[in-house]
Parts: sequence; structure tokens; C-alpha cells
Amino acid sequence: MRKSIGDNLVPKEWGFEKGLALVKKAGYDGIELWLGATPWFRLDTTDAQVRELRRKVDDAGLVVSNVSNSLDWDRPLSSRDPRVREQAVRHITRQIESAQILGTDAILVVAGIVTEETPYQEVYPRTVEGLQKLAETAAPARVKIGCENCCSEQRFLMSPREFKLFLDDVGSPWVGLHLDVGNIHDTGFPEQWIEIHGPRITRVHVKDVMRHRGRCGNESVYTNLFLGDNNWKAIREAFQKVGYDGWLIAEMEARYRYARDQQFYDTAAAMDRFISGQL
Amino acid sequence: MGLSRRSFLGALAAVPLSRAFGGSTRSAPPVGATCVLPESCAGFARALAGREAPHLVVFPGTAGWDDSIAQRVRSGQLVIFESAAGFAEGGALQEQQAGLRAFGLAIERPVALWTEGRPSYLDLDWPVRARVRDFSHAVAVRGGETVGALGGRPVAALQRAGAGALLFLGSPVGPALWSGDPQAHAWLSSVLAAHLLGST
Repeated sequence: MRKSIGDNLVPKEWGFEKGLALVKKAGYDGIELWLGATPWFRLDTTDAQVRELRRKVDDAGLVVSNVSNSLDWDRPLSSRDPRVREQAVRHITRQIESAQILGTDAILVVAGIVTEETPYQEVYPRTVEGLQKLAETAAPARVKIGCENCCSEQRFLMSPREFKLFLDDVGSPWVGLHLDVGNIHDTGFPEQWIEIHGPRITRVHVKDVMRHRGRCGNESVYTNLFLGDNNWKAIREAFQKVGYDGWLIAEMEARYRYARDQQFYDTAAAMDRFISGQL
Repeated sequence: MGLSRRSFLGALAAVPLSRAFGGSTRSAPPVGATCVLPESCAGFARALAGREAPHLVVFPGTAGWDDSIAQRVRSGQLVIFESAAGFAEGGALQEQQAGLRAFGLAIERPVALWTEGRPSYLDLDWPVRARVRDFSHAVAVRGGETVGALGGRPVAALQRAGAGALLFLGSPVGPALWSGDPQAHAWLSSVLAAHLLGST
């Protein structure tokens, strides 16, 4: 397995090059680029500018592990308003195009968001239809769309079985699961998700989670690897069982108040321990 | 993509719309109104597929107005006009206000229901009672026979004119048909039955 980390963790004032240098120095193999989350990669970033981003990644001795986006929450594919859905299709299409330029074969989307206003019974078929259409763009580009399991935030597809039925309904080999092992909270166990989804896992986000701490004010349930309640031995064994040998991408909350670069080193060290099995 | 928003939506709407109005037993598709809620077009199309409704015309999820509506109603058709003014540019509302005035119906500006708090369901009470989820925006209507309300607002009205009738829906029902709401389907079936019995 290879290590990556999101560029959204790089302090904005540092800039892309300084962030890349840190990611490389901390020992990562790749970097996850977040469309819409950083000044250097936005919807209006041109193809030429994306090529320039790739050159900088290459020069840093890294590769792009995947392309994510921070836009789905405000412009979801599951919106009732067709104009908003069109915006979602546009930014996901741009992710696919950018992934091709950046030399990676996976993107991350948060595909459906249930709210009080937009109910589950609409979100499900709308998201299935939206992804079926996007799969037609993803297939010729040979880029896989990984739907992230943001279970509690999305209030959608809460169990691994439900997620499997959803992917069955989409019915495309170009649409799979971008598994976040920290997002399952106390609704289940990531190792079971891994077994159920196996070859449909496109990429993996890693962070730890404190299962019994509900969100309250600014209190987070997320924490650094090995500080939470995930069973990392079981997760590793499940990856071995299904033969997942792909990217592990750290998705951490930037909570270091001092020496912010230290979070990159600490996380890389923990990921090395996980990959090597020294748990 | 070199496709404008309007042409994109038009392309999405075209297929389900033509299906909704297709078949040998129904009238030709209208040409002057645009469906801006593709799910509503698909919902009505799915619900009406294979059903006998010789004098029924549906304008699902519509922006704007179609000048053929008055003639259709007076000649004996039942026209279901579902306004999607809340999902369209401002001009669409004015066109609908002008068209509905000829039927003695007055509609208000669309209301974004969820900015007011948690809205009630759309309660339809003709020809059968049915409770359908809101669809975020609603257009209140005055005049005719009120047949549906949402949070105290009259949003559905039946107006007979000539040999036919106009059923105005200011809160879209088509998306609920599309997502499989059983009460929405039962309601539409009852509208068809009432129409076939000539009670509209």
C-alpha cells in the first residue's frame, strides 16, 4: 500500500510548492488534490494550469493519488433543483478531466445528501441516475468514481449492505466506494465494509474516530491514527483478505495549534506502522 | 461542454415530456411551455404509461405558459398544469399569471418553503384525499375550486371552463410520482377515473 495525504491540509498561506516539499519530506508517496478547496485548484483552473500542477507534483517526486472535491456539499448531485444538479455534473466532470491530466484513475465524490428538505426516497433514485450518467463520462476516461461513505453527515447509505445495493443499482464498474475508515463511527465496523466491498474499493481515507463522542459544539469525533476506537489490526487483516493494495490517503483535521507540519510527520509514521503491520 | 443551461434542461426534458403526451389516445405534445423539472416529466410519463386518458393533457414541471391551453380546456380536455415557477427565471411567473387570468385564477410569487421553517405536506382533497411531500417551492393560487393546500396556503385549484377543466398545481406532484409515492399515484389514478367518468 502507498501513502498519500490531501493538499487541503496544507496551510493556504504556504502555497502548493512548499506543501509538496513537506509531503515529500514527511515520507508520502503521493498527494490527493482537492478541487475547490485550495487556491491553486479551482473550477476555473485551466487545463494548462492543471498540467502545471502535475509538473510540480512530478518535480517534487510525488504522484497524484486521486482527485477529490469540496463542492458536493453545497452543490449535491441529489439536489431537487435541476440547476444545482447541473452544477454538480459540471464539477464532477471537471474532476474526471483533471484526473486524466494529473495521471490518476480515481476521483472522490459525496454523491447524495439527505436533508429534512430533500428526503431519502428522492435522494436515492436521483443519485443513482446521476451516477449512471456520470459513469458514461468516466468509462471512456478510464477514471473510477469513488463515492465516499460520509455516513452520518450524509444521512445516506448508513450500512455496508445498503451501500452495496446502491452500487448494484448504479451498475457500472466505473462507480465504486471511496472508503473512509474513520467515517463509520458507531454505526458499524470498517473491517466489515472492506470485506463486503472488496474490489469495488477505489481508494481509502484514513483517520481515527472516537466512537462514543457525539459531535457537540466544536468537539470533533475525529482524531489521529491510533488515538481513537478503530480496530486497526482488524482493518489491516481485512485489506489483506480482499487483496486491497492501493492508496491509503490521510484525511486529517488540522488540529495542531503549533508546529503544523508535525501532523504530516506523525501521520506518515503511523501509516508506516499500519502498512508494516507493527501494531 | 458547449451546451447552455436552457438547452441542457430542454434536452433532459424532451424525452420524458414527449412520452407523457405520446400514444394514440392522447393529444399532441404542447410546444409553448418548457418542462424545467425533468423528474416531474418522468414521473407523469411513468404514471400515465399505458393508461387510457383520451382527453387528458399534462404540463409537468412547467416554466412559462402554452397558448393552446385555453382552447384545449374549452374543447373538453382536462389540462393538468403543474407550475415550476419556483425553479425558473422571473419571466416564467408573469407568463403563467397572464395565462391563468383568463381562467379567473390568480397566482402569487413562488415561496421557498424551507426558508420559513419546516413546511407541511401538500394535502390534496380532490378527487380523493392524498398527502404528498412539499417540493421546496410553492405557488399559491386564488380562484376556482381549491383542491389542495400546503401549510394553509391554497396551492391547487380546479377550474371548469367550456367543456373541460384546468387543474392547477402550484406544488409539484410529479417528483413524488417519480420517486414512487403511493398516495401521489393513487391521487393521479383518481383524477384519471374522475376524468373518464366525466366528473371533471
